[in-house]
Amino acid sequence: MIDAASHDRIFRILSDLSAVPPQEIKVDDRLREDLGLDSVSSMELVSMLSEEFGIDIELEEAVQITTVSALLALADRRIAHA
Amino acid sequence: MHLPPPEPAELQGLPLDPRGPSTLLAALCTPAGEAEPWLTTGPATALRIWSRAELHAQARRWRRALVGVGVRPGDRVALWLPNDERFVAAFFGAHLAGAAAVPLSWPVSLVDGARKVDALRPLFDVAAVSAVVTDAMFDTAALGAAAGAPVLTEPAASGAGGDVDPAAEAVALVQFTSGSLGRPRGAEITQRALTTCVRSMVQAMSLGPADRGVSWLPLFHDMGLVGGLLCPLWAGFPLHLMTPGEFLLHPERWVRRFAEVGGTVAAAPDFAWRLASRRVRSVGGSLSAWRIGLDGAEPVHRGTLDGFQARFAPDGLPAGVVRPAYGLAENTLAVAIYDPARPAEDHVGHLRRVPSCGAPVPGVEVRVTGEGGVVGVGEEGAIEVRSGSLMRGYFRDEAETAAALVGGWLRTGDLGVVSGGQLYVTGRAKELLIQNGSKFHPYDLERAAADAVDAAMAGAAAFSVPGEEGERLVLAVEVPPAFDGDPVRRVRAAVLDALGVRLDVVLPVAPGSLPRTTSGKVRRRDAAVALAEHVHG
Repeated sequence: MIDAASHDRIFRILSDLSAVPPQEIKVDDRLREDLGLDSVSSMELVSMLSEEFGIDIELEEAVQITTVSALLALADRRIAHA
Repeated sequence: MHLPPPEPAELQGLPLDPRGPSTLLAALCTPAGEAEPWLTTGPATALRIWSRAELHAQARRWRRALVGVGVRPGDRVALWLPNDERFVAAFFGAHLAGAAAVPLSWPVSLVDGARKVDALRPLFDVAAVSAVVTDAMFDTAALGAAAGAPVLTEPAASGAGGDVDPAAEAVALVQFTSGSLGRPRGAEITQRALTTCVRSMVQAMSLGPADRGVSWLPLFHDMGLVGGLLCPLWAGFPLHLMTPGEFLLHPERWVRRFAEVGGTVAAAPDFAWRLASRRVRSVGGSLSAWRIGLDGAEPVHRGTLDGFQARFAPDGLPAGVVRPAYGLAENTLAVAIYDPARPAEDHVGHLRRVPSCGAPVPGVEVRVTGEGGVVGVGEEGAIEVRSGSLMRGYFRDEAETAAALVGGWLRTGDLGVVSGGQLYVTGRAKELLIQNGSKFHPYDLERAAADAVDAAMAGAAAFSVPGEEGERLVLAVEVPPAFDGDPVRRVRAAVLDALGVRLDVVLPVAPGSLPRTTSGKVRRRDAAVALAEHVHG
């Protein structure tokens, strides 16, 4: 699992882009339906995550991310064991 | 005593320079330097390099495949392809068959392909294409059924056989845009108009073999196709072509590519210049070769221009690179481009500060009209354009064509002011909404919102207001008292789902509270004024 600090950083990015307060964002929220992110802002989300943690995420991987849990799973795979 | 009549709001571009290749196909086939690298495609991690001779050979193979499935001169060929050499080769393959290219919007994400095929149906219903060229990753049977035409995913093994030399008046391109009630309509651009527009843009920006283009703009859009691809081809300079997806995910790669290859010219919508200013951390070299960055396709904000210049000045970006440009598919592309050598003050309108779009490009005339004809300088009115690059009309749509082309002038649907020899684009008479370079008709958003609150006939008004960070899209909707749920969330989700548009503000209001005309239509502009304080509050 990613550590609490990383978890907080991800939720802060989500909150910055969606204008939903971090404490109101739930793990099972969908980026589009629940957080109101369109395709451009979803892409920016993944892009910001990749920069924040210095990981390289390719387009094919990025477009599969449609939920907060998928985003956390990606972070878990790529950050925790890096 | 009579005051002298005001100077009329009319502008004329310089005469067109007749030198250079006579057509775009001639530019593709120019023997000098044809084997040298011209087009670079693919992700930064796996670049592919193409010469004009290779692309020409590939185009001939597409021509053979298209003729093989029955495409004849005067037909239309749909191109549904990624942003790389495949699009370029098939585009010219269609021309070599004497057909017009019909570029279709290629999605950033390939997830949910069946729905993306479905979304093309309204356009196929209008376009009557004879073939579709696409990538094999979609369900080609479903695509063929939607298009009512054969689908090709591979060119022929050889390009043997005769190429057509298209007539100057043959249609080269049908560029689809959103019409009234959101119905697609295709601007028909002839070979002559296409070449004229490219010639004009190249002259306006003094583009030549020493330039280097770096573009991520979609080739299915006029700015990416005509400005991004065809100007470099015609002027004879290399192009580094990226994809919109790569730019959105890695804005840094676009700017870094400029430093890497000594890029000199690019175009992008306003949002993209802001995104790059915000997101690029390091450039990895010098941007001192960069000459021109056109900001167009969306309202241009002073803060965007200044923000990009300030952010990258320490990286060697020369002053005055990013500049406003105005164009539209109905004029093939460019109408006016700002020239920093002829500086102009911003126009201060009632809603925003508007930077100048400069003078008309060569061969283009602009005038601003009101109810009594051409207005005086400094007065706001409707922008009209006359040039050798105007569309022939909207494909098979006499009513829309007659409304747009009147006495040889194009009614752009945009509002503007002429002052000091410069054009200022102050608003959109057509009320089109723009987000991230894509245009939407407010009607479509309003209907999706009304459905979302379970009241198909509910009043709604979609409009945009200028914000700190570009335009803010607002939708006010009358929510029936019986509606159960969170209307803001439901409306936002429904509009995103139906149109891919992200609303910045959703305002639920009481039934009957939006201002209406006597015939009961919601008055968007009045609603925008009445609700302005809620948008900012």
